Amino acid sequence: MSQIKLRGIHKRYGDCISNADVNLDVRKGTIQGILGENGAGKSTAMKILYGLIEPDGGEIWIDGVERKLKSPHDAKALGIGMLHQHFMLSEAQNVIENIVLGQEPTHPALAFLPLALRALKLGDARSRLDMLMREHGLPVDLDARISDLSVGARQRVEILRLLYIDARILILDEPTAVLTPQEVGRFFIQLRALADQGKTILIVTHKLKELMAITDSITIFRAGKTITTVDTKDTDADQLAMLMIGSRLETVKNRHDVTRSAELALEIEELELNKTAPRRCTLNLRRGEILGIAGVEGNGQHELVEALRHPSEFLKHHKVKVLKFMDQDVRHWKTAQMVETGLGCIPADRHEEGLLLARNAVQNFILGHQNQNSFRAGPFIRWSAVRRATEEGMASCAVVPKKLDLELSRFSGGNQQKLIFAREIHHRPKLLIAFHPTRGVDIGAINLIHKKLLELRAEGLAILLISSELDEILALSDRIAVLENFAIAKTFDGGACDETALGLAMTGAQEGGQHGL
Amino acid sequence: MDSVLDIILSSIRMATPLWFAAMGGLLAERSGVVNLALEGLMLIGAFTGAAVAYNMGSPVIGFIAAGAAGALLAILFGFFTLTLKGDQVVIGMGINLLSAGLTPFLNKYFFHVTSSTPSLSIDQRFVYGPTLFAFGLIVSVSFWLRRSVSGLWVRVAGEHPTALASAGIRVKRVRWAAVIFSGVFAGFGGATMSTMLASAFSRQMTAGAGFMAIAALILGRWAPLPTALGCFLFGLTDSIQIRLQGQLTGADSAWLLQLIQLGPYIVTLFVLAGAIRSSSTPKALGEN
Amino acid sequence: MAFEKNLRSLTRPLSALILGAFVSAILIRIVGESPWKVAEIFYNGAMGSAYDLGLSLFYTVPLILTGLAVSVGLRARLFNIGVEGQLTVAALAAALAGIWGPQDVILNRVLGFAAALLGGFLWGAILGYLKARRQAHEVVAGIMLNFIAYGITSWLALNFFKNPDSQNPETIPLIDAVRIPAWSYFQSAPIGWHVLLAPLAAMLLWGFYRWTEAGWAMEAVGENPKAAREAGLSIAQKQFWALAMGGMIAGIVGFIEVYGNSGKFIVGFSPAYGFMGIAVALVGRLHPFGIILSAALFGAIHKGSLDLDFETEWITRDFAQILQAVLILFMSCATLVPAGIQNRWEGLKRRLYGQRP
Repeated sequence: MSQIKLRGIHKRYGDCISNADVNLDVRKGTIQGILGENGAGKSTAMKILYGLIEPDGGEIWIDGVERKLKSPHDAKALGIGMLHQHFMLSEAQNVIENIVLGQEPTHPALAFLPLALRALKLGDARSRLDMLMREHGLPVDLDARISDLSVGARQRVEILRLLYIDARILILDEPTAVLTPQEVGRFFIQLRALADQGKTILIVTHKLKELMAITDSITIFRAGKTITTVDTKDTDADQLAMLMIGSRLETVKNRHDVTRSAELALEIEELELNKTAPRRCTLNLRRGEILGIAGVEGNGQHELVEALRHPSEFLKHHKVKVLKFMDQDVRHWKTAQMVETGLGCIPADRHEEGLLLARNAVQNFILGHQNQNSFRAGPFIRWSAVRRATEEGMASCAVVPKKLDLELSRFSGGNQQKLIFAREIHHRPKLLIAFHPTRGVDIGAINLIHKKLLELRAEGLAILLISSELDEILALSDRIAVLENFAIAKTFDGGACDETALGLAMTGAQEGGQHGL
Repeated sequence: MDSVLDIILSSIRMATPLWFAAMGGLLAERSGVVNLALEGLMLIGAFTGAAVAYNMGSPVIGFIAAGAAGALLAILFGFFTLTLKGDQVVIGMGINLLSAGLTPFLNKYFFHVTSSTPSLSIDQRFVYGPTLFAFGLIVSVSFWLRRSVSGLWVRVAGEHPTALASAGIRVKRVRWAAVIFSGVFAGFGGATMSTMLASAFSRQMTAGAGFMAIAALILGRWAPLPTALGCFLFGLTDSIQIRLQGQLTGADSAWLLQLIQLGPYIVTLFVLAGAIRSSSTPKALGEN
Repeated sequence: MAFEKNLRSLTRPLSALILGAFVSAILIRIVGESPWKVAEIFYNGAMGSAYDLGLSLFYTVPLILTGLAVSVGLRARLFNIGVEGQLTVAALAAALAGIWGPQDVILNRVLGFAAALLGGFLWGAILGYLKARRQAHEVVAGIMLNFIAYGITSWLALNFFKNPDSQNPETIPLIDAVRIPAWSYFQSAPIGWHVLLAPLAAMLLWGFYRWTEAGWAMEAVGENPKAAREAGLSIAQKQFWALAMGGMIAGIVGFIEVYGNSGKFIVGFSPAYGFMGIAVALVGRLHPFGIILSAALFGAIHKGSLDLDFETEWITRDFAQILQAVLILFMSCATLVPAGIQNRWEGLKRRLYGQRP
């Protein structure tokens, strides 16, 4: 009998249907993969199972009983725990406070008071956690503030919390996004051990290889529906990809047939990305070259982009020896100056950093390029020119619907991203920073963006490709630099490199086995 | 030496309403709600405190009633910010305006004039009771915030509300409780003004005290003891100002008086300009 | 489509007004007065005669300006509560310029106008500096600056420029020639050509947001500061200007008061125009032309409320403040229907129409 059974779950937000018809059966003590493209409804379904989102309809059966999960409180009572893609840890509090949250141990003498008024008694929790840490090999300092912890340690805290609350059903939402390939291997061994102890594990991801490695069975989501569930041993990555996108995956690949120019677009020497890091970052980038930056998130990617986007501001607090863009010393330059000289940027988080969601496409197309001569007449904006440019941009990058006056929030994620892409290449930049250029967009948009990146490079554009998707980096880059602990650990030639080699460099050779889980 | 002690004692008196209000503000803001309505909550507390103390002949009953009135207005604030998801800053100012209009309206209804409540006799007033209570409140808030279950909830609600929700605790309930208690405390603060520092409620008598409490909160980085110290600083400015006024009675120096009265406001402004927002600001402050 | 959108943007202010009127009626009932009688007093007080109408207009003009000033801040997501102080400083500046300036009519007026703009700008700029460069909380700082503006202007006015012929707290008057003459239509209400400054400012502001890069950028900073920063816009700079520009617009109120009304700086001349500007801006939905309409409404309410003191037993002019507060509350919440009820309503609709998503 299935321990978890979902039947006909559906959920919509306004016009947007997130889950149309989700059916799921999970047996006790197994690891089941949940596979789907971004936006296929995986996360929503898992949040419904954890009580964070109330479905519009459908049934949830746990251990053979139909349940209404109105809040995580209900889910927890049934032994369901969730590891979120974005950590649910409060940075200003310390580890133990975060772990006991929602299951606080209190002083027995105060038991007559309502829970909220009782005093915390962390001692008992501490001894239990010490035991769990030893048993499962998850060392963390219980008194450290979350803000002082590395990404890997934060994930250990999250897992420790699941163990602490004694969850029987673990929902893991993209748990490997922050891990290196080697750490992933260790993490999977631990997961298998937990399943053998009788825990049921749901693991959500869009990485096919990982699912093949760890799961017993895999459920595929497409467009808000569960398409089918297959046994892992009876399938392969190709078939899964077919099921996931409904057609064969056509991948774009760098064939390394373009000769790059000798002209340097970007020259960085000894850039301090973090004050406490032992080493500094040195790299250069030629025109007509794609330089892939691989690395575990939080190793200096954001700082690198900050330094290039806002040099004068960033260098107020950080040192650098040389920072040259198109042969000019840009150490004191402001953002606007960088943009005018030809810096384009696809930001990591399009909603936060790239768009005005309540404005239309035209208003967004000028964002960042408000000083372009063609858009201006003195203090005034030439909206007619901006409109024309928007029209061209939307056509060239196939943004749909082609409505210039539509509010940006009404476009899908992929089309929003394509609009940003169109905007950033419209003024023919010399250097393009592509920071997670395909995060959370559909396969169609990914292919278009990849194809365009290669075309632009052939035309002489220098591209700095920063991504956590190793596949993307391997497929597109002419050279690959590994960013580890705020410095370039190693540089590879794009054609002569594989995931294992990158992974090793990402962990940092000197730390080797102690890193991560 | 005596005069130094005098100044300190009078500073403590002057700081008392601010202590209440600041603790109320601390509660709301640590839970993630910007409470700019403190001023209005204090004002309604000041009116209720004096009016009830006058009618019932007991400052203690007035004090309690002031807390209840603050709670009621805070519920209105909570309804618009938490239930209807209004902008906390704008709603806070709306509540202030409401209180500023409602107090003379009620004053007229109960006492036939809009300007002030009838003056309280000695036994209808406090001598130092609220001050002692405020001391106790500061210490308990400080302990409660660090050592209790709900203190932890409030802290996480202000830092990472989804983490709290995901741990199975309803963020909204935590914030509701924090907002209501902030109304109670601010009401106490107002009653302290009208029944301890003064002997009646008078129109707009809070004169920015609620905002000074917020300034103290920013200065004290949202921690109870430093915030209380910040309030003391404002109390000190106030008592020095009053003392100077007392000494400048001659006709020649009358022109200085008005400027000296501005002291607390100017000090507050400098405090705001100096206390740059730091990492200790609750991260989810002001979000719905 | 456009018509439908306009209609939708009107529904919120209208429903807020109806709710506000309803709440007021309940309060009036509670104290034992008749809401109809109060409404009648409001109506007669606001537009019973050409003179009353003139006075309503007289209050409307500053409210347009303060509403605009507040809206400039809110569009950059800043709450400019310092408008009251800004217009006070501007009025004193205008009065001093008028007293000291050349006695030539045109020059004197131009100088007075410039001084008012400058005074308002200065006081707004202090707030802008504190917010943009020192990260001070703009509301708390604005309140403090209001108190300080009030204190300093009255100190200056009464200690150095006091009118020796008057018992009132006011400065020496300007010469009559430079004061702007009132139109005769509104009888003795002080309405002259200066009232056109307010709609003019609204029009300029409308064009500013619609056509200029600076206007576009100020709104972009308000909507998404992070994206604006990535776009190379200086958040601090835009915030500074949003507050300083608001101060400048508020400053026109000072000029109108001094040159168009009293001919001098009177301590406490403003019946809280600056605070009323908040409600005006919100009910006007931050749109310059919407603000003109809502200012007309609030001007009439203010004028009408002044008669409440004499004509009713229990209700005073403070009542207008309650009404404003209620409107602010209803205008600034994201929705007038709680989410729980909304969900239930959606569910009911779905069941009624038998839709399954």
